[in-house]
Amino acid sequence: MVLHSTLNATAEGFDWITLGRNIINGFSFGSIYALFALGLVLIHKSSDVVNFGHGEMAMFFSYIGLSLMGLLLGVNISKPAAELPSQLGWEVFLPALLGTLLFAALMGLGIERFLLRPLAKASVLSQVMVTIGIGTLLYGLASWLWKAEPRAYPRIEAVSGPPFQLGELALTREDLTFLSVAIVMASGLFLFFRYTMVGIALRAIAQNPFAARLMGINVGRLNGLAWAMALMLAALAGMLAAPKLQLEPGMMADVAVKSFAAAVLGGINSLSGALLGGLLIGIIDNLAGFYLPDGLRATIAFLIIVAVLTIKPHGLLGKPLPKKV
Amino acid sequence: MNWAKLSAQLHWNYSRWGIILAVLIALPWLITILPFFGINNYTYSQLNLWLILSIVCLGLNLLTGATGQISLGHAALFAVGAYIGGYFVARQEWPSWAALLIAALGTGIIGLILGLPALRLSGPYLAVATFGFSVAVPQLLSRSKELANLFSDTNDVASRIGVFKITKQNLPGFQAEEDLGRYFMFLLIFVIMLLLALNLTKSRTGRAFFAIRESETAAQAMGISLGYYKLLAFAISAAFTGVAGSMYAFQVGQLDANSITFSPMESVLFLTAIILGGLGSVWGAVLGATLITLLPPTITALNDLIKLNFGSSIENFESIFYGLLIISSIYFMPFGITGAWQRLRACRRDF
Repeated sequence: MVLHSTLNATAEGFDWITLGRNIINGFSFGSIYALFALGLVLIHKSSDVVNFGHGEMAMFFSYIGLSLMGLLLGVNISKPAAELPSQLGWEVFLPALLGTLLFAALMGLGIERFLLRPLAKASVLSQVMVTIGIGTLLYGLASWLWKAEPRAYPRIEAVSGPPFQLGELALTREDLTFLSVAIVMASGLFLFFRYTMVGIALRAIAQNPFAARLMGINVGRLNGLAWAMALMLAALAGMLAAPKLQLEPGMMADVAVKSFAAAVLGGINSLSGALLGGLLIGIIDNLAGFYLPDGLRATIAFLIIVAVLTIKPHGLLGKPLPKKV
Repeated sequence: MNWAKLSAQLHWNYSRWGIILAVLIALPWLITILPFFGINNYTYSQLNLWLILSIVCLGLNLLTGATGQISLGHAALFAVGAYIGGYFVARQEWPSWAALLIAALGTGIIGLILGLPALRLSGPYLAVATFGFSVAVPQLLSRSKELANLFSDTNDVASRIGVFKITKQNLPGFQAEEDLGRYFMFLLIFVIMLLLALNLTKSRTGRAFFAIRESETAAQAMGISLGYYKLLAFAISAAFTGVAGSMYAFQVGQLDANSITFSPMESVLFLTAIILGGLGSVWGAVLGATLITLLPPTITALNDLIKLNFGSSIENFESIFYGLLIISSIYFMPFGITGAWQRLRACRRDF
């Protein structure tokens, strides 16, 4: 009898609707991972640094965005009891977003100029540790300035309408927004790197900074630009994802690992790879979380990172670069 | 067997070592001079944790400092060592020295496996892979029901998922009830590990490690097998960490896979310690571990001072402090304290 019921449960455990829901959810999370991975790729493409503080930076920007929204609505959000409405119109969200993007760009320029440029010739360990240090600092600052308790993040009114129905599958407007933002950003960046002078110069720097400098490219300024763009992407991703993830200083720890996995899977030098990798990681992670025992889900990101790095180190869509000696 | 030769091999300078050993043995009493430490179990447990952290740093420094392979996964290896050591002592009732050896061996093997991607990776990629490892292991240890059952064949209350308790009576080798007694046990292990690390860095293997750090291409050209020595560095480093991990299990008596001690942040702290102390220097690792051990009481004291002056203490002040510490240590002391000291000495010699 017991055996029968367990068999029944496994038979009920699999149906196409659940699979479809998981895949849609995977796309939704995957778009967030893709936006993060795009930033990682952008930084790595130009300055050969992997930004280990990316998640914390995005978290910090989400708080900045929340503060700006509070400022516009006249609520002081550093008070723990402060509550913002759960939905906001464009007239509040857009100025807050623009302000946050400006802040992120300035911070990117600052980090590149004052923290990473002096370390351009230092060991990889120093560069990795500095980005970790920035992340730790921002984590501490965020929990000091805005307290560590999780808080709700307002959604944009226009994208929180009723979901679209595809048969039995519901596709929320929020999921669609994530996906379209990720696709637009990835293709925009792809075109930018392919067809604009600045983009081509950035690619030249990635291949050989010395030769790029000889060709009259201002390497430092362009690296700063790449950092500013990457952090603006992080800010955008953070502000879009915060309602889904619930805002707290540690909210990005999990997302950061998965976006590393996404960047590695797609190829850490490839923008389209970041998009593909992000979506794949999102789907794989959701399916693993549903169909595999709980403990295994945690290791999926790690297993993918190791497998890709060992079998195909430059990722699905990346091209192998000659090793610098 | 010639004693002079043996002492040279061991880098055994009698008078210097005599002083060091005397200080280490007298340390539980000497340390009470410092403001934070009184004659109590807290002091002794801090000393024990210091010895444990020192052994981790010795191991990590062989890998990251000497061989130049970044590892953000040492907190996870530490957890593996702690769980293996704890399992064999608490569940199999093995004597603790045997559990310690098994933990060293087991963690060494895990480290070897972790090192496999390192054969093809370098720099930030290795950091990404090991970071993934250090996120995965605690979650695996805390969430997996299979693993929890593995640790709880006697389904008692203490062994709920992810939390693993070692009671005092099933620590056969460590009958010393007090932390002070355990200090001398740990000191013995620490001195052995210190000698191992000192001699390893001066040996053929150690020179190969340093050669790989300076230039993989050049090392390969000199006939050093990159794969063999990288894997060896990973295995040795992991074994050191495994020993420290099982010592940690004996010290705290209860393991929680979700605790901060096994989180990726702890790996960062280990790296900060060896950077502060001096990459590649054995004594630098011990010095770095000392600084990191002294930090929490200092941070609390600082925060109290802030509270006194500004009315309220800063929440999560330690994160802000650690962030600033990591950034500034890389900026102002890239070669750590031992490096700064050597540079100072070189300056004095030159003038």
